Amino acid sequence: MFGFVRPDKAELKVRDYELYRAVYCGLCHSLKKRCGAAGRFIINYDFTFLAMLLSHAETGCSLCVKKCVVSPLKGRKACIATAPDGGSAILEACADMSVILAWWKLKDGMRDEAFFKAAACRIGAAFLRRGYKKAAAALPGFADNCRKRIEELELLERAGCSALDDVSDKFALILAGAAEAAGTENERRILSQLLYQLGKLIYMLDALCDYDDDLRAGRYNPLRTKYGSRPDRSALEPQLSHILGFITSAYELLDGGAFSPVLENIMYLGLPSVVSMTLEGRYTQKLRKRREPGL
Amino acid sequence: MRDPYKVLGVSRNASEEEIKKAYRDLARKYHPDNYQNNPLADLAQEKMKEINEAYDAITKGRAGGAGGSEYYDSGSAGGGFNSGGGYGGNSDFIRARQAIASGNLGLAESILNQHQDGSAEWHFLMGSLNYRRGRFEQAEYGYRRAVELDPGNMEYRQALQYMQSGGSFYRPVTRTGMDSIDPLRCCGNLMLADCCCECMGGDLISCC
Repeated sequence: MFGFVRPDKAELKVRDYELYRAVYCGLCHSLKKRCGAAGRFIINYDFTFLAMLLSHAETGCSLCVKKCVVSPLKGRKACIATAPDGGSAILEACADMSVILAWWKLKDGMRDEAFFKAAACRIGAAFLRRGYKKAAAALPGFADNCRKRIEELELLERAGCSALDDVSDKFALILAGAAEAAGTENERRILSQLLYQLGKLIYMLDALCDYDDDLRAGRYNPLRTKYGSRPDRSALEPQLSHILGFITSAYELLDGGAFSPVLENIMYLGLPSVVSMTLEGRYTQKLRKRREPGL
Repeated sequence: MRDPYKVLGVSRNASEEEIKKAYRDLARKYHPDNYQNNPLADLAQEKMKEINEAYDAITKGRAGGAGGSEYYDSGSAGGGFNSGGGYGGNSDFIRARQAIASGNLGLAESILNQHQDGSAEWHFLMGSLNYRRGRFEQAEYGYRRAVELDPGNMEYRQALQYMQSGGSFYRPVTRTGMDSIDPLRCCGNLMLADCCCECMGGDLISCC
């Protein structure tokens, strides 16, 4: 489900890259606070992006050097709040959201995967249970919406739904739920549109990426009924291009801030290259899971 | 009104050229063409209006009321593809069109559901509605059916063409293309080529 929203590292300025790393570190620390050491395994770049997006208008962030397992002696600059002088509410909310989504992904794996993988998901879920409970208590609206959408998605998947618009819609609505935290009415509109389209994009890219594996394992894949055993990936290109366009055109309506260079890099360079790599079949599981932030 | 210099993102002592450039960049960004049938078109239109007013205020203030002639049209944002195009005679479809353009998608949907006549215009309007909702697969289907049923209609054909071309959206200046050349790999390739040449009795790099 994750691993598609990344910047094009080579095109980032060093200071922007450091800012990005700091937010990543900060998110990891928030996750650790929420669900202990298990939190480190669910940190990902997609939610780093979300944290920056939700703080798009901030003029900076508060940094502090923190030590952790990855850097036990020297420590790393971590962003403790995505505002120059504010609370860490957004970081914590993003950490909670990633816990909630990771939890449901594990649940999904417990049901769908083969024996060993399902067992691994079960163990993972056991570690995450307490964190999930706390996160769901902190964000009851998001957790509730997430559960509802995933149930709807399951129903569609079980029925072998082939309407890409319908299945991706359910996943997209989960992400759109993250816009609730936004300040003004207009901002909420823009962010929920942006995140909705981003959710669609992620769902479709995920379906494209997993296509061969799903086919081999006999699992559900939304593209299967439409494209048979050999998907014509280029047929999806115009759709993906419109989705990207809706994402960027929504983004341009937001006020800019300290995170703008990174966000713009992700919007205009990172996402398009991930899309074209996926369409060419070059964006593999290994690339998705790597710990390097950039492309 | 907000400070016009802030709106354009320039300093107070910026030159005329700088102001013009900032204005042009922003106008390119929020141009209605980038927000065709987009659910946020009204916000883009507001932005466009704001920067037009800001540019106007600055140029007028500087030239003592002379400037401000060069203007980007903030015209028909929010409308369909060709809002001037041949409206059909069906008054319900005209209402549906207006509902889509004003973003009242629930109303548009209920009108269209009531009048499922399977005509080209109905399919086109369903396509428009789905496009606005971000349901691009269904949108493409609607436009395609409309064109099949009424191949002579330019509005339908334009919409289908726009859909299949991937749309036109704002993009900032793209990066300069050196990234595909990897110096390490380049070196390796040269060495490999040299080895191959030597195997065949020739030499590419004489010193090794």
